[in-house]
Amino acid sequence: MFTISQLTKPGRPLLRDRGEPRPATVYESVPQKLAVPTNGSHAAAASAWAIEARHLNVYYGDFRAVKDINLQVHPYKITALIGPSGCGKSTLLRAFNRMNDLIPTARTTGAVLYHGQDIYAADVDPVEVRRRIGMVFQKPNPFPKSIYENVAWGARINGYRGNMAELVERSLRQAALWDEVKDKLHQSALALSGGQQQRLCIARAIAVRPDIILMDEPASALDPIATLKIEELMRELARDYTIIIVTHNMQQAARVSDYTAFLMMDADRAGMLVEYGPTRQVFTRPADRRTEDYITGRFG
Amino acid sequence: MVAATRAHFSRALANLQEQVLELGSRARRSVADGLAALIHEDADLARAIIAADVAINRQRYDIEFECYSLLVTEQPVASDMRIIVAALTLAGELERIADHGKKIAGTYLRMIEDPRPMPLGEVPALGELSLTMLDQALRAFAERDIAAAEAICRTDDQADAQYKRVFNAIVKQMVEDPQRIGAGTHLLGVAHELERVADRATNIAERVIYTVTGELIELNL
Repeated sequence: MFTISQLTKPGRPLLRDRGEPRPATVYESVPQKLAVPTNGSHAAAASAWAIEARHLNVYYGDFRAVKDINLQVHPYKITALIGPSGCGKSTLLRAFNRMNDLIPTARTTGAVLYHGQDIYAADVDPVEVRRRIGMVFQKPNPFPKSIYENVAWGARINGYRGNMAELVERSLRQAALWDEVKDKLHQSALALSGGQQQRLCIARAIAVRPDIILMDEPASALDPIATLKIEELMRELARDYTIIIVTHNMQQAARVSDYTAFLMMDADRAGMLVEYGPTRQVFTRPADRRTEDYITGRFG
Repeated sequence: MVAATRAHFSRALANLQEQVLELGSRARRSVADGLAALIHEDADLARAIIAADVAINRQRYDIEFECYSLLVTEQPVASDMRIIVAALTLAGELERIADHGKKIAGTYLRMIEDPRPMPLGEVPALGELSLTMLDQALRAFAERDIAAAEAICRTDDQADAQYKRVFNAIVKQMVEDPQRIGAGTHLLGVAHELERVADRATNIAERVIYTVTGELIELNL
């Protein structure tokens, strides 16, 4: 038996076993499967960044949705992606855990380096990528199951063989939901409020011990109090996880993030990165006029 | 690309700037009139300056209140935030500049009771220099002119040198004629107030640079 922390040290390669069926359990196979190879490029590919886009382009058919993105995400920090509708920020977010793979016409060029390893390399298992790099969506989407089962689900299908009750409790505590649900773990998750459902989805995401959590407008469907709870939770989670958040709410980006990336559509409608820097700097003295116009609301 | 979004807020910011400049012109008048009362021995003018200070203080608080309101209602960022923060600082500086004018007027009213007056020497010239710096600072704020703001720093060196000369000259006369120590001390006070006006003009210039560039720098070294 391996402890959770042993299994989730960042930076291990994401190698897929060639010629073998995907093992039934990720967790129990991790020690072998994710051992750092001594002969491959992966071993030398360690990086100071949690994840990094290099000359990243994402196409939907002939349409280039984002172009030539170079972005280095700091580990254990919250990075906000902001920009007007259609600027490609959700596309960029989804490129960070290969969610765009699920769209048939989507095509990616350039590289996304996770602790120095290209997650788009041919030998990388996208399922393992998504375990390491979890996602929380705009609308809370708990399964129509109990609170307990929602959290246990990811670990169970990954073959987690540790103490499930402990894992569920720890995940719910980390998601700042435990005290509110500890007496009704076996009731339906759908009976929770929207804010509680979203925190449950965060608990579900962290139960599989990811390294990075991607959040696509995680609070846009919530009321102000529930929103502030999610933001506070993000601050707590950033001690253990790297968080990347897409938000339309610029005050939220200013409040919650350590770094801010501003994207906008270029003349060819492809999203491009205009400015990226510490949030306090971007919101007090942005370097680019276009950032200034956007964050001050002077953007047509 | 830049449309007229947030037109209401933009008008509020423009109005805020107008209020700051209006306070600036009142503060300037307080100092200029204080100096004029001293030079032309005009006690009525001195008393009018003291009376006018209440309205200046009130305007300073009006500006502050407007700034706080804009901060909470508009949640400004970037240059919008910097304008409001500058307005807050300038309101305080300008109100204090007006206080310097008021103190000069008050000092003059005490000086005229002194049987043995002191020649003003270079004090009027120091006053002119301080007023010039204040004019430059207010113009730099109105026009967001960084070069003009930086130039004020150099003028401040002249003002410091002039203050030193004025100080030494007054002390010299007090040593030569101890009966003038009372009037001389008052005049030293006036010179000090004028020197402070020059310092505050450089503080304003620093805020102009912050408004334009976002950099907080010390000009008055």
